[in-house]
Amino acid sequence: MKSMRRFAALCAVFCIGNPLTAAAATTLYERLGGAPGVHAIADTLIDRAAADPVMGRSFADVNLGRVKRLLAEQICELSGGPCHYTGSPMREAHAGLHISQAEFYDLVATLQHVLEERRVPLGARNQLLGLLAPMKRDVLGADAPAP
Amino acid sequence: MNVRTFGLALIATAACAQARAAHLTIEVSAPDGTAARDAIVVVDAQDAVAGPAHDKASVDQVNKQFDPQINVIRTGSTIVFPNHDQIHHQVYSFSAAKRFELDLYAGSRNKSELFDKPGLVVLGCNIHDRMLAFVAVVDSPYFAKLPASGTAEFDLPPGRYTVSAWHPELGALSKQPVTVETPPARLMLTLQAPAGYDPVAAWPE
Repeated sequence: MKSMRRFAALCAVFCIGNPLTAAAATTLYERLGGAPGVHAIADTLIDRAAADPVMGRSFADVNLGRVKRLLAEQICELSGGPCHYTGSPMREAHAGLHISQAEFYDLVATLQHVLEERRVPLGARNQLLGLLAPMKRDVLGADAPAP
Repeated sequence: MNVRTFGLALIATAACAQARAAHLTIEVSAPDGTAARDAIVVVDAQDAVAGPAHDKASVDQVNKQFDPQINVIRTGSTIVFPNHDQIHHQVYSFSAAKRFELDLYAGSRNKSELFDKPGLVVLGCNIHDRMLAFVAVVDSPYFAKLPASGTAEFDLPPGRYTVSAWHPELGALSKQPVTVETPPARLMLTLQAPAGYDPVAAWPE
């Protein structure tokens, strides 16, 4: 009886503290920091990419404020937030830029750093990258004729 | 001469006056005295209203710039917006005379817009915010974008007119009166942009 009570107490502590249970209770959007978090992620990522000697070429003369706003919308929508992405499809947005595989992975690595700096939990980081990864085909293949 | 003959003679005289063309030269200078290249001049008849035109013009996008950046067309004209870049442009205007937004991809050649109200239309690109162009939409059939000489020549019926001149940086002059008869008239204008010149607000038509 005593051991049963101890188990119940342990279970209560463990179950409430279980990160998997906590993760299921909040959306990815919330774990990214909600609207302020998502905007900060988009702003920092675009600022760093635009300042990068290699990636920066794709942002020359580009209205960065618009790109940040649309990227924030896109991450918000993908992560289950209350947004609707109003930008162009990825293939059209990247047409003519001839993005290389190296540039794509540079951007992924930059995003990883931004998420780590903002102390986004590992599970949330991986979940976001998993949602963005399928865009690689359209970003790199933007200059091929549309399928 | 009976009344009827007199009436016919009057009509004939009026017709002759209509057919007789007078010549007007307009010369526009920048504040420093050089020719005001690319300035727009518009000659308005004081009592005549021309019907809408159905002209066609083109504003291209080349190397993340509009070409031409200064345009003048008659009300009722259509502009096609060919994209010669490989990248995506999104051309827009918030101007009262024409509001629109066009998605233009590599190879977009045929997307066009009708400009059916007079006024100054400012074009931008949502994606590339340094892209800027002006489209002056005018009712008068007598207008010009000045070449390097800064002068424009018009053949028009004798009469009283007003002349407006505008340039996005050099300044603007609104409705200067001129009477055109034979012999040829010559009007010389000098632009002078005030401090804080706002080319959109300064559009004189």
